[in-house]
Amino acid sequence: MTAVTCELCPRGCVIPEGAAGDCRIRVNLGGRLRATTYGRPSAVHIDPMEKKPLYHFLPGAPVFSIATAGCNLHCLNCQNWQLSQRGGEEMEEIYRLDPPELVRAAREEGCRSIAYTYSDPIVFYEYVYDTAELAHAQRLANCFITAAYINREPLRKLCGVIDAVNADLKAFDDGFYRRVNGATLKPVLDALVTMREEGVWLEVTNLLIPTLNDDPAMIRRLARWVHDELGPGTPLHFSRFQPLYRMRNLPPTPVETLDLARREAKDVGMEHVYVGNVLGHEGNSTYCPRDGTLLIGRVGFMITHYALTPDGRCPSCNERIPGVWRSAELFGEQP
Amino acid sequence: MYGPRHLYSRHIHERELRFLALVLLTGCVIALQLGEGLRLAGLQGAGWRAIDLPALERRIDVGNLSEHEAVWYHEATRQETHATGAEQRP
Amino acid sequence: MTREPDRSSRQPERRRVLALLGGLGTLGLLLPWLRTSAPARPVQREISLHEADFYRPHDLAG
Ligand code: SF4
Repeated sequence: MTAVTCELCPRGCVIPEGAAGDCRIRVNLGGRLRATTYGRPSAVHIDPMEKKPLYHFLPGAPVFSIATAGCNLHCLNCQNWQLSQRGGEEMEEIYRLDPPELVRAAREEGCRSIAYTYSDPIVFYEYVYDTAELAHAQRLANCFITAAYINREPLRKLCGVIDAVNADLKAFDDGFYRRVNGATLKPVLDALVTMREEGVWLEVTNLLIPTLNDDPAMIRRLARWVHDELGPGTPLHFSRFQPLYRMRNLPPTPVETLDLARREAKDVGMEHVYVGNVLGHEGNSTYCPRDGTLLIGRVGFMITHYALTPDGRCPSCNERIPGVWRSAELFGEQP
Repeated sequence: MYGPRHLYSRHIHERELRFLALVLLTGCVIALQLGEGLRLAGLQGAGWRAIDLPALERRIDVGNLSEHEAVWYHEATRQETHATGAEQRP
Repeated sequence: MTREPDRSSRQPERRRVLALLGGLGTLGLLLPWLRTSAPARPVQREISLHEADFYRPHDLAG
């Protein structure tokens, strides 16, 4: 009877034979840990890059997005719980998409990037890693949409094949993480710093839930931390909460709260602060932090205006806007 | 004929004893069932989950799930196993 | 004092009918419960790449 200890995320599950880790999909079969959803995603869609949300990374590009069952967090407000809070054997739908088929399918559909998203791709790490390596060999970019609850060493290795990350920073409060997400804050902060050190393009999302993490002082602390540790040029998205899953008792976030959060973040010096899940809000668009020129206009996930120069500068003051604006910046010009 | 005195003086019959035993047995089964549920729930908090293993194996057999070996794990030390109750079968 | 009529000859018959009714009632109560308490095994659908519609609208976040 051999139990195994998973080293992938800070939970460090010790799993007896025949059982799964807390994320439900890493299973101890015969004394070996198996990634049971490797090559078997349950959600495959083509989304705009803006949906991830990644606003400073290949804007407007269609991205081949996949997820398998399972997640190492258990957020009470999970929007994708039918996918994330179930094991592979409980899924109604499964695609057979081993890494080579996945990369081929993405190329055939005309996508120049793949997103590992929806649930938390940390739990299907091996699938992400192998696919991302193959994708790079074919000049496809890799985007990782995560809550960043991962140990440092696996993350460092993964950063070698990932080009862009949108990380959820759920609150600047350990108690909130424990109560609402079943996790802790410190490993998330460490992971964000590691991603920055490894040079991956990084955007941060904070979903504001009325009464739970919308205190202006907490928002200010969060924004100041992002400013100091990740840099003022890091895009910061404040996203609107919708009552779902086990948190239907709270109302959607009022737009005024999102406006306030945006002001707080700008006050501490953040240059690119966005408002998400509010259609037509001016906070959907990108402005030059120096002279306020509208650079990329967005309505929802649609780009309605694009004024950046090809090398990612403001056309009126020549300020360089941080981001990855063309895939040539990742792979060099096409031979 | 059926006065109170007569009632009080009744002996407990064998079939009443049998009925009492049945009630006690049912109580024990319910208690065991609840205890097992609580034990599993407690252990799951310690970092593992009981799953529908036959369903998983069936899906692996037909290729709908995979048994690709994970990276980033090691065989649990005795201390780890003991601390999390992982020596018990789910 | 009137004597109670002797019904002892019909008692075994009644007992059998009552047992049958009781058994059926118990089954009626248990069957739906047994069905719902069986482990959930949803029908699994393997979607082939040819039939997959990657542009199908969805409400997944991220
Ligand atoms: S990745 Fe899954 S099995 Fe591994 S430690 Fe995290 S929750 Fe546990």
